[in-house]
Amino acid sequence: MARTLLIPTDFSIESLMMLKYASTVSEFDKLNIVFIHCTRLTDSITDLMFYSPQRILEPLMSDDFHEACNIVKNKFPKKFLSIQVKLFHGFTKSAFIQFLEANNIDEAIIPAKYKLILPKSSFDPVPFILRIDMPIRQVDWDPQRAHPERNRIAELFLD
Amino acid sequence: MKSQAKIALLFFGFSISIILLISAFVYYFSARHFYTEFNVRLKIRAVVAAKAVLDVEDERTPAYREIREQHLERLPDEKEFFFPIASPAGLKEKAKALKLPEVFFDDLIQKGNSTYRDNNTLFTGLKYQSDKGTYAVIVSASNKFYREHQSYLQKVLIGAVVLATLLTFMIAVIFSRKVFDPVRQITQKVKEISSENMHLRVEKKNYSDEISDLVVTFNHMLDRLETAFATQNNFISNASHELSTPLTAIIGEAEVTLSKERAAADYKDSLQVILNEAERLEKVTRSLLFLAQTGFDGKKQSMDRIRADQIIWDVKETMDRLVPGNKIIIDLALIPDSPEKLKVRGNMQLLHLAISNIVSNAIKYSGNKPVKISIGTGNQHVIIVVKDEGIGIPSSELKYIYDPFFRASNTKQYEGFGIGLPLSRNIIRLHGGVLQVDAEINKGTTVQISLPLFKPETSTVVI
Repeated sequence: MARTLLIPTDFSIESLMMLKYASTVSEFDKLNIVFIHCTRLTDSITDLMFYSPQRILEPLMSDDFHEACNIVKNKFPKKFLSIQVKLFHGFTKSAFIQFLEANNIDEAIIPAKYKLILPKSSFDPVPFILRIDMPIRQVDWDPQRAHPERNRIAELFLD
Repeated sequence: MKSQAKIALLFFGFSISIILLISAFVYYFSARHFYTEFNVRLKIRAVVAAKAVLDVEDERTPAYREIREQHLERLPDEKEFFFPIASPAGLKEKAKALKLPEVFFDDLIQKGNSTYRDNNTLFTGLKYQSDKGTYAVIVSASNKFYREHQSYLQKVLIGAVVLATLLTFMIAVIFSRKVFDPVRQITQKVKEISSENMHLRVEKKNYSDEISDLVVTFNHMLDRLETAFATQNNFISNASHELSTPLTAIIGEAEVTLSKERAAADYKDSLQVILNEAERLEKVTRSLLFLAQTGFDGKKQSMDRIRADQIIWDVKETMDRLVPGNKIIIDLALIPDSPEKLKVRGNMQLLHLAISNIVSNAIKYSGNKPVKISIGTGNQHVIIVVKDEGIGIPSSELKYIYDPFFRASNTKQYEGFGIGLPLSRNIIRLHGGVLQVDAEINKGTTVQISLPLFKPETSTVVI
């Protein structure tokens, strides 16, 4: 059965370790991935009139990020049904629960030690996820370890 | 033609055509206005004349007469005619006498009024229903004054156009000169810079516009040129040093051996030394030649469809032979499912050389610690990562690692010429790929190679 996983992201290659982990869990045979990026909605009325999630997301996602996603996808081409990036603009727990319901999220994958590196207008969804009663898997890797390949696709290949 | 002249001419042409257009517009519409206004005046006169002359005397007639005599100024050559419309044949004769076309009367009868212009004389006709019958009232006058107005306007406009032409021309010249001034300055400055004074830079004005961008771009290019010059100078000195060291050893060894009679074993020893040094020399010259060949696209390499993972296995095999007991780990955790996604276009020998260079460096500079080779494929690139836990590269020296013969300051205890990495990069570039080196001193080095994925030129359609 296909499962939908929620993965918080800061669009760094390092955060894709969670995607890589999800691909290796054998009990998931079919996966829908929803990357979540939480950001405050703009106050400007003109910006709201021309609101487009693509325009917010595009500058954040680098070519390397896409390529790294594709590397994981190409490893298990039959496993991944879809990989999407969704924006969340709410502030409250109930709004977040609604977001989960709307996207049919079954489970969340969060980092154990790694802290998302986010732009100023964005906020970290991990505390939200921890407060909600839902199945969670934590992926543990050491963000402090020596890895000269920071922000390169090579980062994805580390153990 | 110079761009400056072109710009000036263009500006001049545009301005002049606009001025001419406006002048023509003003002239045409004023002339039309004069004409219609004169016609209106004639019409009023015709009405008043008809009322005064044709109507039966009543109490209003003296008033019309008074208006006619006292308030309506006589126009130059003003004439009045009254013809009864009853006989059309008579009208034709009258028309001939007055040199009026017959259409004039036809119009008059049908529409009630008509106008005709004969050079400077204007005719206005009116059908007037009086108590004595229907009459054609015709008033004619010369529009001498209007003619004068018009010719005055003409003179003024011509004068204005001539003046504007002169002014526009001057402005165009000054404007174009002003536009191209900064460009001329930059050209002047760049001309001064030659290989002797590469350190000079073009002065940047503190405002930010296209010209400043150009200056900044020029300066960046000069930076790169200066570095390239320095690199080349370094290369020559390094290369000659690298080549002369074994030669000096060979010459010294031979001289010492020849200085007196020696035992056969001694000759053998010294010949061995000479052979070793000559081999070293050969190795350097051969790798130099290879570097030159791959750097400049002189000889076309034959490119085939090859599997990227095959290269890695081959490299491992070679390394197992060269460095027995190495700790190469091949990590296939992210290797793509489909073999199609591993195909790249390339030359097997060259790619093998490039990657084995990198892997042997990784083994050498980590003192045989584990070296991990990983492979994965995105949508555009096959990515090969070689990661070691060696001595790394000081971050200040990272930008020089592709200079031939450059060796980082922490590599003194390791043997090498500093040709391997530049050679590898040349080969990867030859394949349209990118080689990226990241290092942390004493922690390790990661080399990321991305090669463009082979895409079949004709796509197959699956039905």
